[in-house]
Amino acid sequence: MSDSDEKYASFLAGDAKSLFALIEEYHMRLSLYLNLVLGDICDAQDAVQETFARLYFKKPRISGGVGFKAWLYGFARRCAEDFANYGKLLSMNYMDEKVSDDDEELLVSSVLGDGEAAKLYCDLKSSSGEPAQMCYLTQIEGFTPRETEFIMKKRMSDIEETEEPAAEEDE
Amino acid sequence: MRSHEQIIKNILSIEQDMKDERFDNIRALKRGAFTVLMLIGCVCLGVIAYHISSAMVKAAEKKERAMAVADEVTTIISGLCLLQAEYDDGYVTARIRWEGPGTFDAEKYSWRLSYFGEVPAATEERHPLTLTSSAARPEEEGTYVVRLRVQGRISWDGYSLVCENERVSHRRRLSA
Repeated sequence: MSDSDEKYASFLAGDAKSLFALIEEYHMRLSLYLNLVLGDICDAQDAVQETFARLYFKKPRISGGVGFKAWLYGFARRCAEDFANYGKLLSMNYMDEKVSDDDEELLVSSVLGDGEAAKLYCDLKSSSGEPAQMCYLTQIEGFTPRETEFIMKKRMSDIEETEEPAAEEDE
Repeated sequence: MRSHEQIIKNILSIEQDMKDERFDNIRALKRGAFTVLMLIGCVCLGVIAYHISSAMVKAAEKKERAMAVADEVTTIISGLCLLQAEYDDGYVTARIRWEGPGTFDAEKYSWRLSYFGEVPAATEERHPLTLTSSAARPEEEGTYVVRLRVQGRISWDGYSLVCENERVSHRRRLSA
């Protein structure tokens, strides 16, 4: 059991501070991932807040036979999908803090530094789509193929297939 | 960039607002329940008042019918029915229907006033009645007018004229 799993179990047992520690640990990395999903850093940060608000109020249990981190990314992805429908959002009225587009660069450098990972992220951001998300999850976040499939709710082979026609066009 | 402190602060704000909203909902619910109870109470009181008033009306009608029947019965027994008793300036004028044998004789009855809630003897002592010379004047067939002088001044309201003999007693409230 990882440290994050233990913290989340502690939160489910009634210790809210454990969730606050998880928020501190994951909010920036999650923002980077949801930025790839939603294509907008402002929306991504709102979706991250919504994700943690749902965890705080609904206290869902980890499922799918994966660890906390993979489960959190999958949960956040579903929150981001709900983002289009504002009626479903818990923290809809608490997203008034303006987030500037410059935050994206700051976020990338804070989380990934200035090395290869940051360059890869910028490339993925420009290409976007599910293959880019899958690549982020495996290459930058270090998820296993099974965890990636759990987060994306798709088989990796299906995602790779969607990439092929574009590659053919390039040729 | 939104910091984790800001996210936590926002989540706690949502929680506080939810608590306030729940409190407001409970308060609104209590107010609604109180209003509903008040309405139910008013309806119940209305129904009870309706039943009481209709019971009172029925009782009054029943009493009136019983009195009418009693009047008829006493008329059959005595042959006399006291139709009306009017008070005017120290005199009581009574209209009587007479179904008895022969002619009506006012002297054969004793006449007195009775006052509501007062001992009969006290009223009789304060305001004794005297038959006038024109007593028992026949008005039309079967109807007589009896004129009685009242000693002392009275207000007609609350007084009844009583006409009785050893067998029956007739009573009629005075009118002006």
